[in-house]
Amino acid sequence: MVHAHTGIPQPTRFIDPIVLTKISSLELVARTVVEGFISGLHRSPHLGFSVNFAEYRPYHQGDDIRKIDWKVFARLDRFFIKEYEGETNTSIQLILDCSHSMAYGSRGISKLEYGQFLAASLGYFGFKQRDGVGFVSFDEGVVEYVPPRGSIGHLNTVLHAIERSQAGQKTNLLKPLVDISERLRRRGIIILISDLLDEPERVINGLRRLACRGNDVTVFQVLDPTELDFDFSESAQFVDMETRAEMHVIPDYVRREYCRIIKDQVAYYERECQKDRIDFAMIKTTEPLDHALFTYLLRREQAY
Amino acid sequence: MNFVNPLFFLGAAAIAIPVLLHLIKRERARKIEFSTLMYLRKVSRKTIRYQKLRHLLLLLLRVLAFALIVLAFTRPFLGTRQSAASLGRATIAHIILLDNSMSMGYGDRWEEGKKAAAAIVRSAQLGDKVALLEFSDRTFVRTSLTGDFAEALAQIEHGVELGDRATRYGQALKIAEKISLDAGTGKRVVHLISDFQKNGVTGEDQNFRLGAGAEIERVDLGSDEFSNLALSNVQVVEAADGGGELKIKCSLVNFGTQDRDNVKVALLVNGRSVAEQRFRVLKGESPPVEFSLPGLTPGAHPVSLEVEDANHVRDNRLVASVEALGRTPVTTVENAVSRLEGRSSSYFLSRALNISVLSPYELTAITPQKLEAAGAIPGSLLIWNNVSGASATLQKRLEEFAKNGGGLAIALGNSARAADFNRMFASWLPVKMEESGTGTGGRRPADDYALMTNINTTHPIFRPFSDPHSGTFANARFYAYARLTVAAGAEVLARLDNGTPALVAADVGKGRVLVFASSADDACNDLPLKAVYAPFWQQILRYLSNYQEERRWVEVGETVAPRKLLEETALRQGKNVGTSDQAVALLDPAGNRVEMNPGSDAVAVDKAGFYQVRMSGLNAMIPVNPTPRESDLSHGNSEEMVAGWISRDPEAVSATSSDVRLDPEEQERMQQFWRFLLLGALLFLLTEAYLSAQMSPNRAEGIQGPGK
Repeated sequence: MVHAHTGIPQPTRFIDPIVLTKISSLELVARTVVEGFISGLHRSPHLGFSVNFAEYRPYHQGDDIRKIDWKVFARLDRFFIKEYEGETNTSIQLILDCSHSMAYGSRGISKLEYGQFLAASLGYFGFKQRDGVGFVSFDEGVVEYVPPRGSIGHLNTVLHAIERSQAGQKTNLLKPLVDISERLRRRGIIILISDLLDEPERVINGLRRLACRGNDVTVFQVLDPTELDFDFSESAQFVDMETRAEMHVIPDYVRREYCRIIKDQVAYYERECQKDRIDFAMIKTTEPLDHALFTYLLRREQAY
Repeated sequence: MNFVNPLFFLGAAAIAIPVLLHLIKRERARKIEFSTLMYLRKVSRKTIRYQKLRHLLLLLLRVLAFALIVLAFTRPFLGTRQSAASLGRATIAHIILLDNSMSMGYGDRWEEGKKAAAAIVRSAQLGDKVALLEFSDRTFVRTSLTGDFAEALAQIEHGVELGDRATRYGQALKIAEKISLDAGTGKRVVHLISDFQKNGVTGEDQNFRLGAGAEIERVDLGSDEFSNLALSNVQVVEAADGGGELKIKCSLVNFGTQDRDNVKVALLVNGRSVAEQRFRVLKGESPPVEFSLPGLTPGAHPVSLEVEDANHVRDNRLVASVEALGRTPVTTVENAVSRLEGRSSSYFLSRALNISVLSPYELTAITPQKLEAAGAIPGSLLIWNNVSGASATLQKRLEEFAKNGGGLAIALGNSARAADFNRMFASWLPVKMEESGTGTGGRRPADDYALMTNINTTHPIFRPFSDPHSGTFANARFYAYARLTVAAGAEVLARLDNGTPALVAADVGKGRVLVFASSADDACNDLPLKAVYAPFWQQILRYLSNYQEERRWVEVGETVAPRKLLEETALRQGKNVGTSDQAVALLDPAGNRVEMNPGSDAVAVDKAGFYQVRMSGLNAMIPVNPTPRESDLSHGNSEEMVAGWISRDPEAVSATSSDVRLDPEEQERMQQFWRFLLLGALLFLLTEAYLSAQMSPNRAEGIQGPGK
């Protein structure tokens, strides 16, 4: 394993994303990440991914009466709906942002590549759990849609779809997310991988549309370290990758304020997601994938 | 403020480094693709301005730090112009001799000389001393040895002045040496800034040697090629035809190394050009220039001759004063003449004294009775001509006249009686007339006469006759004469061959009295028939009027006596001189008042042109011309000249060059600023480092990933 910044081999248990870029097969990438990840989990047998627990809520008019828990009714003489009753498998919908801004990468790996690895790893991980896995890529609208299935051959379909995804047009999170939320028939786990570089209100609205259908939404905000630190040293004409708009910037003059703004932005997403029970994690493209998975799962375990 | 290592100022170029970096970082316009400009647009302009200011502050701190470091390395110190090289080396006394003689006015020599002097002062270093002297035939110390170089520079800029005097090196070098000795030990350098005019060296200068240990550094501003025209030897003469017309003559000299054509010479009278002539002057030649002076009204007139020569203008003009005289009244007192007697006693005198229009005298005859009735004696010259008797009143009046400065000539003809003479004059004159010696009346025995052979030719009266063929008294026969006894206080100027005094002079009070032992006409001698008669009496009257030949002009550097000159002028014009304690003002050609010593009437004239002398009601002018030899710009061999003035004693040279150094503590004290400068630079750098760290990208608050 090679450290991303220095090129000096580091005895770390995590896999460097840049090393993964050298592996041509996305499946192999996913397997490398997940197997390594799982082999590192043997001391934590309590971790699990399935949503196989029950939740009761009062019956409302219009609910499917088949979902009424009659045992509870017998005991309490009140109708309760049992949700996710005894399901062994759930569906995981991976949503990857393929807008042009995702093509940005300053450290040898673009956000899109990182997102692909992450999506592939999570998909592989889901298959390992015998969950159905689907994949959606979007830019201004939905580009590719692979519905979630749990069959063995479906993994390849998903991985191929992930591999095919390319940076496209401008970001417009709201429209594709609304679109996706309407396409999903079953509630399940939705994992959005995006840089969320759009109007914050639109982003949050889109996420809410996903979450309000009972989906368990997880958002990975993938950002390049340079986007966070703005560590440019020389003044330059900065070109917006999506709009091609130009702006002359002297980094020294704006760095401090920029960093504050983007930090506030991330904090805002985190806060708003928390309100809507959406899991949010910001990942830098320099962070090892399994490290991201590990920390994310750890948080989920703590949350449930 | 001066600097020990001024070369370190080259390091100031380092200040450009932060500025260049700042500009390069700012101005490079390469394009960078970035994911979104959304957040960059949210950065407020106020923030950008604030950051900009902080960066400018950083830039300023860096530039200041560099500047202070550079300044510290140059080792500044307070004091006059001093430099590092001087710290720890032998001190030098620089004595600058700046030639301000007229010849330095040629071309731009004077300005070059001043520049050279200033350069020498600027090159002087810490511990050195500088003295500034300007010299011509007179040496003037502008600044004595001083470490205050600014004062010397100020004197070079505003003090020194180009003059009209002649060059004389020897005297200047002597004074320079004397001043250099005041410097004590150490090296002594005399900087001689001059055109090294060949005739600036006199015989006395050639024998002069500078003392041991003194060096001469020469700044030679002269050149072998030059072109200069000058006028010299101006004279005002009466035309040979005796018609009274005056001519002004001079020589036009081409001192240069080239022939000159179409040279204009103009005559100016009373400031107006009245005539001009053109000349071709070959090199080394001096054709005569002659102008006729137009008729002048009585009085003194400023006359100048000007040659057109742009190369050296200061010697282009010669000035003179031409005085068209009015007549000085001379009164002859004589007895009334009866028709039978024929000619009056002043018959010959009137002809001798009124010989031409240029004669300064006008003779009028008066009887003693009329003189007495007139109340006062007119004019300042009186001839008591063969008067037989007079009242006591007149005697008293004559005595007062003489004692108050009047001139009295007494001619003792055949009417003169010893009793009368002694009554009138013996009481106040040291001369007595003997009874027995009275002349022989009107008789003229052919063989009984005396000759005036014993003449004091050194006396002013007889000086014009002292040269051979300039007139003789020896052929005049004196048939009758008075025998005079001369007491102390009187001087016998001429004696007859029998030893009898013929002409006796005596000073009485302010006046002069002459007693001539014979008659002024031909009654007692045949002198009136001789050629010397007229000049003799003119001389007598000149002597009595204390007359001095008016000088047409003086040379620069000569001493004049303004008060005396005014008195003479007044006397010539028949005016009353007045009391001598009145203030006399002397104005130079530029109209500036010349300071005169209170106790002395003598003052040296420095500038060419017309000086004005003024006292209440009286004016006189002094024409002053430059020294002719100063117009000759022939260039001497400066190397040889200087070699001749340097001491040839090598032992003495080495003996005096002991080093005078500043002690190390003094040196350190004078240049301790560098510590504070470095401290300042350090403070600036620390502040810069702090601010820079505050603004660095790494310090920008990053966003932690999930695992951090």
